[in-house]
Amino acid sequence: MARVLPRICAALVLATLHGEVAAQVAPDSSAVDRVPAAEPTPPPTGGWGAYGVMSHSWSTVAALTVVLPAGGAQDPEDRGGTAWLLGNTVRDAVVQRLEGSTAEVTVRVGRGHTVYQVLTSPDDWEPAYDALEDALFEGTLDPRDLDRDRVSLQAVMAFEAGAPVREFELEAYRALGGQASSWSRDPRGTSASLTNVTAADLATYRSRHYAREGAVFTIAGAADADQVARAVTGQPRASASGRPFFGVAEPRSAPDGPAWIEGERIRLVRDVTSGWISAAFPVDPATPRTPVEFIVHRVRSELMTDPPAPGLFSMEIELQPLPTGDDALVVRAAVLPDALGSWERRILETTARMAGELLEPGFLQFHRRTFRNVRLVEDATPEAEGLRGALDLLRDGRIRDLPTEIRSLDGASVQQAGASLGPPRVLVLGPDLAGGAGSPRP
Amino acid sequence: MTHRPRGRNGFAGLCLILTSFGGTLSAQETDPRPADALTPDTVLTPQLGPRIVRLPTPGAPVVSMRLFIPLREGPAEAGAGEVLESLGTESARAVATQVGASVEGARTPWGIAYTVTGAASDADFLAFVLRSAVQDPFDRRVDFVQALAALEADVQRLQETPGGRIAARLREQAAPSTPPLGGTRGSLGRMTLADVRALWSRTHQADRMTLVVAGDVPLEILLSAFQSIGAPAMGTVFGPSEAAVSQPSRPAPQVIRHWYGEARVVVDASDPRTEVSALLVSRALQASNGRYEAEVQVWQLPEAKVLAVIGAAYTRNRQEMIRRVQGAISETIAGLDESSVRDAVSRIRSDLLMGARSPAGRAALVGLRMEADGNATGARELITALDSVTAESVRDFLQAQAGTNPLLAEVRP
Repeated sequence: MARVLPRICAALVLATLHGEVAAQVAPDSSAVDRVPAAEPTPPPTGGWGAYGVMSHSWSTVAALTVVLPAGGAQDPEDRGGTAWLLGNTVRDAVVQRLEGSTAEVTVRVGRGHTVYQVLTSPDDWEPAYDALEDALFEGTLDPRDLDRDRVSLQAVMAFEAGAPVREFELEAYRALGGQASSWSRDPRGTSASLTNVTAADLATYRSRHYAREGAVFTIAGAADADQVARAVTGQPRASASGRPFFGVAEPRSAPDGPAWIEGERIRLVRDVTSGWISAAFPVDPATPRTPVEFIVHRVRSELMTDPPAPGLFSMEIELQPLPTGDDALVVRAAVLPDALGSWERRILETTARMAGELLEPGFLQFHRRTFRNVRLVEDATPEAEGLRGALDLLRDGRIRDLPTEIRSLDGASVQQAGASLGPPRVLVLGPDLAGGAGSPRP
Repeated sequence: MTHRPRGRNGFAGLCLILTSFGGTLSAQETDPRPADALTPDTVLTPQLGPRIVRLPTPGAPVVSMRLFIPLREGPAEAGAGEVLESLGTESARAVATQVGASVEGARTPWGIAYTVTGAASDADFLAFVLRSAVQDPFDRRVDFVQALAALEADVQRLQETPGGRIAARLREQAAPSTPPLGGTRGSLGRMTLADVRALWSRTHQADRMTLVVAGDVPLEILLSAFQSIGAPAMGTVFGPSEAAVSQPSRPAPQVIRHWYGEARVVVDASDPRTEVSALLVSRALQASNGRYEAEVQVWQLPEAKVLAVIGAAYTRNRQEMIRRVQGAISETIAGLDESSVRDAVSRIRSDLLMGARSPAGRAALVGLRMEADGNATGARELITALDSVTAESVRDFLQAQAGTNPLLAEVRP
């Protein structure tokens, strides 16, 4: 973030406040009070690493989001699934604390992140905030919840056992994070490792990795921004007109360069009836986020056509956070075995075409318009906006003003984003119909 | 609990099915913010239509526009509205894809609604998308055949399942003059594209339409974008033919268990106690742990709602199941208290507000209430009316229902 902010946010000011470093950032000069550079008045963050508010008078619910920069990658070696079980046990505790309300509580435990979200009625967001905060950092966790969540997950795993797609996913993440990296494991652990996890393990994980100062909190939707500021920080909002407004404690250090600079191709031959492809392109972390998202949109629009192209079962294209702190553009496809070769070529050629492509102004306007519609509609619920804001804060230390940033996309920024894609790491898993296409991984 | 707009496998309009619930609930105070979010800041009725209802959304980058076309079918054309909606949705989606906007179509108890969602800065193009949805389907023969085949398959599927069969029987008794929205085997078997075009010509005049806008779009853009939309204006609008259509014999469903259902028509369709009561009855049934399956459904018809309780059991538990279905309302009355009613009210309100958290959801909530009675503030009034629901008022409501003779249906193995 320290690398990105000076370029993007002219109004970023950092100052020490009671042992914290806080920042006030103006995402849109027309809508936000800028802090005078001479006498910065950084807002407190209430102990959070960062917090943000996206308040809308027209919303009918409020979405609370907490993102913790810890997930399955931080599990102890023989206790895979600890983060997953902790996440679900904490969620259970929040649900119990909110018994008597209509709030909806969800948790998603990933490899490097854990995301909690609570959807509440406008009147109930403060009790929901208190319940979430308590369960995350202090409250007692019920060991019966741990047992129930473990049994539930093990039942799912028993159902999935032996599915070739699971091997594909494991190998695909190993290609991104490394064979030995804890990040590359399934964040849910294994049925055996789940059995090892005790209530004490959850407590240990929580004490080590659930820290307010490392977490990001956002609230989006029907919540009054001043009330949020008072509830979270104990003080009125520093900036009266900012929307969204946010504060950041300490900038995270960003990686110096892309995750890898040399491509790789792995071919795994298996006697299965489908084929899978994963192609991951590292993104230079110095590249601004919105143009990179535009590139992802362009790749999607070329590869994920409607109706689907022949031979394609399913496809996912996303920006995948990597253990190194930067991202990769990842294309995952399930295809007919005899279409493996053609789809691999198509994926690589399409993405290669984006690299360095300077769009004609007419094409740029056309694609930008489509991107704007798709991206803004994705962001149109409080929970989606709140999560996006939290991830923005965690990654860049600011919440993007998406409509303005999309409007500002020009040929140069898009070309730069395309050129920031590095050489791919490709994994192909499927039968060898022609013979001699590759060898099994030992 | 799920609120479901009438889908291809439904038959009676909006359908609220209550089977199982997680957690307990509590009451909440009325909040002016969500209510205000559901109150239009503008209602305009241009002489040539459509009526424009705009919800306050200052500065929102996304807009949803929901265009509603009222229509009523005669028995011989039952299902034509559903076919028309399918064709319109496909047309609109083909256009919307060009700019990345999203489109949804729905056949509601009162007509057809198309919703487009996209960037507010593309409002004029989004209006064009809706124009595409309501254009004359004269050249859609292939799409018509596909849509008709899908609808026929749905109708047959309903008739081949005991759950679908018993619900259809109850609905026929509740609204004998209103054909099923999804059509009948008789009407669909004879339907032609000309029939669908005739329905379009009769119903798709701009001055009959209503546009609900959840977004920050200037009125002048809305007024200009929706000029001369739909079919040419007609001097006199005739209703549908009431001529009956012969129905082929129904296929016999494969039935293993006994199915028994009771339904009661609630005349005041805007009474929120219907949904609150349905939830309470469902909970009462759920608490019993009987060796049978039972569920509560609320069906929205054009002029009324239907509260139905349907059970299924193997032969040895048949009597127990029927007793529970017959006594469900009385049992609920006996267990009523303020706490349980507050919980139910809170859940219903929460579901409404959660459904309205996106621009399209907000337009749908306001639009559906308008379709029912033309009231642009109906959604807000519904939220407000929930606050006046008490244990006493629910008891009155349920006692009135218990005092009526229920419609009955049974399907046996």
